[in-house]
Amino acid sequence: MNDITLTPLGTSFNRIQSTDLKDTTKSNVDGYPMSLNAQFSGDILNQALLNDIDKLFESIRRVESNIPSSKENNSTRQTLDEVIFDARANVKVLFSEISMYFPTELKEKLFHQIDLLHDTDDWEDGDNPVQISSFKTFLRWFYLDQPSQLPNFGMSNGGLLIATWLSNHNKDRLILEFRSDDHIKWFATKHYDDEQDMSSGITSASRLIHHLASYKASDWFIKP
Amino acid sequence: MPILKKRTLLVNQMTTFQYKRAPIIEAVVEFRSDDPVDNKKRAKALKKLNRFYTNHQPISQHDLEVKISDGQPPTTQSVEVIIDRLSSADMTEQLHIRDIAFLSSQLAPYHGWEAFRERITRDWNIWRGTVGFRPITRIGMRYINRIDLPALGDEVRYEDYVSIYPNLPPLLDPCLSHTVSVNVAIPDIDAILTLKTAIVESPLPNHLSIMVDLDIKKTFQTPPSDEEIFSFIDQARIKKNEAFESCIKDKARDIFKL
Repeated sequence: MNDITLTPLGTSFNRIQSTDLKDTTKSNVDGYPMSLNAQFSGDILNQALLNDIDKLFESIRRVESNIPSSKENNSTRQTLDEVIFDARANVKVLFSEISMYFPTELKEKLFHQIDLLHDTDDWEDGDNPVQISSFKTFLRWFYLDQPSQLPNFGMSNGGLLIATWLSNHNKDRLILEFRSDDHIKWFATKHYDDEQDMSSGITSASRLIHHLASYKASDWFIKP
Repeated sequence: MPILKKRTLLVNQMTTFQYKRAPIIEAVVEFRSDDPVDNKKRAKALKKLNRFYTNHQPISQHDLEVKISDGQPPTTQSVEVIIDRLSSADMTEQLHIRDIAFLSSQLAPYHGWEAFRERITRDWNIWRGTVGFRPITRIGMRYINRIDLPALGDEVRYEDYVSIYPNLPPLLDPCLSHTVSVNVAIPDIDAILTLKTAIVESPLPNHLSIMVDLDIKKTFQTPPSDEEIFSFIDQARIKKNEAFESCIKDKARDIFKL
């Protein structure tokens, strides 16, 4: 399966404000939004953005799922195991190379969720293991911005690492999708009284914090 | 080969403390023998060692053997070698077993010599106790360090951080990259140190990195006892630290202490 496809919303930055948006986000026990259903009128770009976020969430595999895949094929199991083992091993070795700059908690949480995301019992046709170029972008970004509040991790079907922060009773969300070469796609949703402010864009690891400045990113990144 | 210059590595250097952010990205100790272990004993030892490691991967490697006989053209033969790679869940602790070698590796973060030595001792005792005596002909110890230098603008003054770099005439400036490799005798322990440094791309944004790779080797004419093996690696590790400390400056130490 290819990487998730996102509807083009602009060149590199899109900001949408809606005053008529009802968000019925559902979350699983870990605070992972499982689907987004929004009803609103007006701005077609709002719909496009919500569709994007829907697609993104649908593509994130639940890390706590223990449901075995019905599509397992024993004849290819060995090869699949090897591929997945190598992908997990490679990102862990990459992490180790700069682990001296990161807190132990990050390693524990990240490795635990990487292992869960690569559970071969949950593997389905079309799934791809984590891309090392995506993981590298995450590490470089994390080194730059050093969030003390660790995110939950997910992965797109194409193997791009995804980090999610929730705040304001899980209503405000920040989702980062780490791409190759220090590129990051971000989705932000913030509530201000009855208004919902949403934006999305693609930027570099070093510039992300500037794009999130107006959202008071510390609400997500700094441990309360 | 003539010795160009005899050197005794500095003794009065810091050798025992642990940096907060040790720059070691990999530490390796290898024991090598000319007497291969048979597969049955090897499998038995691996079964015992597996208890301490989460992953076990047999890796196929092809060694190229070149045979040269008098009056005959040289012949080459590819020989398949299986290496059993045991690793911890986070991949930082590894043990590589092949028919003639026992190799223990620690990736970053490096938690100090005591912890690493303890694991080597544990695994070696299991290995030796199961496969029996094998004469060790060579012991190697390698520490690969990466020093991450912050870039200020486009310039990184690596001379401020390390004391080993090429001495270039002013005409050949600025130096974009370099690789230096030297072999140094360590008479105290009758070993050879191969020291390599190179400027490499840093995994960190806005940084440049210098690799300092220290590889100490000793060959044995008479097989050492276990006591002698571990006595040697203890001494080699001290010499390694002395060599490393002599290659870096305080500005680099400040990075590791942060």
